[in-house]
Amino acid sequence: MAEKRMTVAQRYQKRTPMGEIWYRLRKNKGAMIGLVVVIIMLLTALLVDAFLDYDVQVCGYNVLERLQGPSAKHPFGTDDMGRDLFYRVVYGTKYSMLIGVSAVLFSLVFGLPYGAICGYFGGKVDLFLMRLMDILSAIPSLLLGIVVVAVLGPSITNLVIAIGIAQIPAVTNITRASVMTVRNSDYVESSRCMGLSRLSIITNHILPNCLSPILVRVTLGVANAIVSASGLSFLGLGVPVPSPEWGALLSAGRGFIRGYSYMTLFPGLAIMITVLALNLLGDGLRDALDPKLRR
Amino acid sequence: MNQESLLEIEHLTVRFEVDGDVIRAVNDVSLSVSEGRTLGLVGESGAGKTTTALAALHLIQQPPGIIEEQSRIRVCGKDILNMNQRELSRTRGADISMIFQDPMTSLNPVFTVADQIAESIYAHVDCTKKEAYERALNMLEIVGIPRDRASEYPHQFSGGMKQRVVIAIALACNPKVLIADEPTTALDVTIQAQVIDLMKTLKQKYRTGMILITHDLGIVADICDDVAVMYAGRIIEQGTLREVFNHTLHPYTEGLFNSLPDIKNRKAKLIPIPGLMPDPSNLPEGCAFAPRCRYATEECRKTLPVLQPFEGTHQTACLAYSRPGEDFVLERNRAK
Amino acid sequence: MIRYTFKRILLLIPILVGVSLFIFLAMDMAQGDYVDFLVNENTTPEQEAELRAKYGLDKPAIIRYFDYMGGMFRGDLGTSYLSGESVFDSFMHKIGNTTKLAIASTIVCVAISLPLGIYSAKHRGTIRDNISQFFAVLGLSIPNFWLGLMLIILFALKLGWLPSGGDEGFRSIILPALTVGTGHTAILMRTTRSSMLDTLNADYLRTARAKGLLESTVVNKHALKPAMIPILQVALSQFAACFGGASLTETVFSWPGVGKMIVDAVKQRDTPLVCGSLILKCTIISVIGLITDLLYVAVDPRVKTQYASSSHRKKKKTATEEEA
Repeated sequence: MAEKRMTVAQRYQKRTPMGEIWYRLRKNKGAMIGLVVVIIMLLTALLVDAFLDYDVQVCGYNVLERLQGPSAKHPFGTDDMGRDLFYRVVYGTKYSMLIGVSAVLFSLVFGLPYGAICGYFGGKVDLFLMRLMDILSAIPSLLLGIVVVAVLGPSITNLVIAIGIAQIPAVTNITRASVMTVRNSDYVESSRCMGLSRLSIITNHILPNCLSPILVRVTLGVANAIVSASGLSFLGLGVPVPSPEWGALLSAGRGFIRGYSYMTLFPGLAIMITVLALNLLGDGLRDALDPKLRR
Repeated sequence: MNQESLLEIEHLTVRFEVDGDVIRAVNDVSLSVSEGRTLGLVGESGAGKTTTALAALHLIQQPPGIIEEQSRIRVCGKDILNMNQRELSRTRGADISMIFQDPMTSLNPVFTVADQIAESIYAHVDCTKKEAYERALNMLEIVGIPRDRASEYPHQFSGGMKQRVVIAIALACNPKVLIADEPTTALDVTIQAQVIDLMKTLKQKYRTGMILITHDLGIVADICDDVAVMYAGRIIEQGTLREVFNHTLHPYTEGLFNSLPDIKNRKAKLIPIPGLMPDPSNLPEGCAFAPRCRYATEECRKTLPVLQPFEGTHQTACLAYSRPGEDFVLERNRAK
Repeated sequence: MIRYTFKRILLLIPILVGVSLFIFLAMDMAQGDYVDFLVNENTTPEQEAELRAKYGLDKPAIIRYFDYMGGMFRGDLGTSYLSGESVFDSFMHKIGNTTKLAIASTIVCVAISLPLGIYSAKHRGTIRDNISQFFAVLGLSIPNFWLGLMLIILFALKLGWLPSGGDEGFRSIILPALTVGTGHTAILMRTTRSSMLDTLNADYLRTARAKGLLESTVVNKHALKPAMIPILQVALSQFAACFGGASLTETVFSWPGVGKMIVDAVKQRDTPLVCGSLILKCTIISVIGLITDLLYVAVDPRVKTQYASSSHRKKKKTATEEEA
């Protein structure tokens, strides 16, 4: 109804665009909880080395205390080597966040220019380049990861590359789609008429307008990457032992699933909470950035 | 009005609550329509005409809409606002039906047009699905769509034809009351004339009571018997066609006439009403039209005028007529 | 329509060629080859070279690739190094299980997300809507293989109701299907919710109510049918995704499907098996995609007439792109 639109529109005019997005995000409880959890996770990842001694608390084993269930001393229990699982899970945050963020950055470095080129030039260039992407996206992402790790060997860097590659098609698609929408808009047409160069049109007009879908993609992409990383580690193709990556912890716990099920419970919960927080934040961002989708 | 009223709306008040804003869409509106008569409901977009019409079928989405306690709506004597599901579905379509504003979106894209008409017949008339379909085909012919297009989908029709399908749905069960919400705005002029003719036929043949919502005063003059003018959710002037058109009382109605081109005096300048309708979430304290009114006084901004009877059935809500010691006459009427 | 189908099948060929080339080259660059798995300290270099020659691994990858592709055009997808069985046969052995799992998990997924999505849309903006949506996001956020482990712990180890893995008939498929199905619930539930919201707010629903139809008819007929089109599309694309992405679940439940087979084959550098299976798998996924698009044409009258008049169309694959 016309009446409603008018008042809502008027209210929006009172704030700056960023303020408006923040206002809408703040109203979304799920997104705010997600944001807080994500910030805590990031801080943990950055600061964990200052609080935990990797060699002693995280990897130092103590056979006397092996396979103990959760207790006051070891809230998450201990593993088959007597290592404290609480410390290991907390330390694992570093790996997951590091891998998640780096993998998405990796995919952005390749996906953004690729998608921008496809979207901006269109036509035959687009057709050819997108066929190449189709090939990449035709291979299931987990399998792509396994193959890439097989080529490069298991290490954290290679895991990042493997997951990053698998995410490129998604980034490319989103960039391409939003570039195409913006490219055909009137204001880009007018800057072309004013004689701006292609590069400056892309950097000044097109990229800023693609920011919001890409920002959402980044958030959801990190969530995705964390799951993929733990999946690959679970298959034994990720972070080498004894690093306490969550997927690796799960993989280790799987061997003790009969009798010592707590070993698989806590690392999985850690993944779930992190990914849930990122998903809630990503959804919230999407709704906040695109009022049309707001329901 | 000596005949029995088919539709009676009393003190209808509707507000919408969206994101903490309260939008007062309809405020204390009373209307009635009797057999064989047509009421023209006139006003700008956003004046609350459509909301009033939807309320008459109890079609306002709740939430966000809230119909306030004192509102009463009777359709053929039955209180529609307090009906249960089953009673409601028996009344809608059979006793009262509505022609919607936008034919482009008012038809379901995935059902054929005949199915959409037959569905209404099947719901109200005791007949088989096949008979209902057969009657739907007749209905299509009545609104001027050939039978062989019955199994086509809405997107295969032009705007005018879609509007006729919408009309066919509304008329399928010979409703006693018909509300037509701007039935001609989406149509081009030749089709407009056809639709108007169709409505005139209905009125004469079936004695249907109608509300015609429009902002086209020409159409009002053409087919309406009574006129009600709405502004910011209130009726500000009401009476027979002759009363309102020839003895306009409210400054807003005068403004509406002044902004119409006069076919007899082509040199006369159009005088638009200055300003905009107030934000319905933030209505002024006094008369809602006061900020745009050339006759407004300080009092108009403070006191809310109520609808008061004038001569015959003519009513208006304007303080100018109750000012002591002044015989107020609108400029439009002064020449006469 | 036929032309369109034909075009889509033609478009598949370069993708398959690309996929197989990529896999071949990557497997060649991978550390170690199949023979490295066979040899031990007792193997002489001569024996090793002999083995390499036997599997053609002494030739450069690109030559082997052309040999392989030559075979493929004759309908031969190669022979698995490991089992000595033809790749096609190995694949066909396992595809039945993968299909069973895909069907079962799609049923689970639809059975959860459709009612939840409709419920959520009908109560949008309320606490009930928020809770339903939260559960959907939760389903998306739980790593599949971990959910599988938890289900095994609960239903197989603690309660002892269901087998923890393997393929022992109907009871074995329940846990894997729940695992994969709930993971896909979020997307389908959201699609259901948003397309139901679109149709629930549509003007034609008001027309339907004004006709005097019962609210249940209005929702289940007039709102659901137009909303079914995107829902069906997404459901089918998820069905297709089950063929591509269930490797981890198959591993957790020791479900003898294609996903697990390919993962094992990569680990053992069984290049023909990886390559051939991927080609077959991509073909299946693409065919399902094609069927989805054709079905879309069949269900939506608007697209149908567009086909009858002119056979061009631009709107496609939006749902699948969104999912990716």
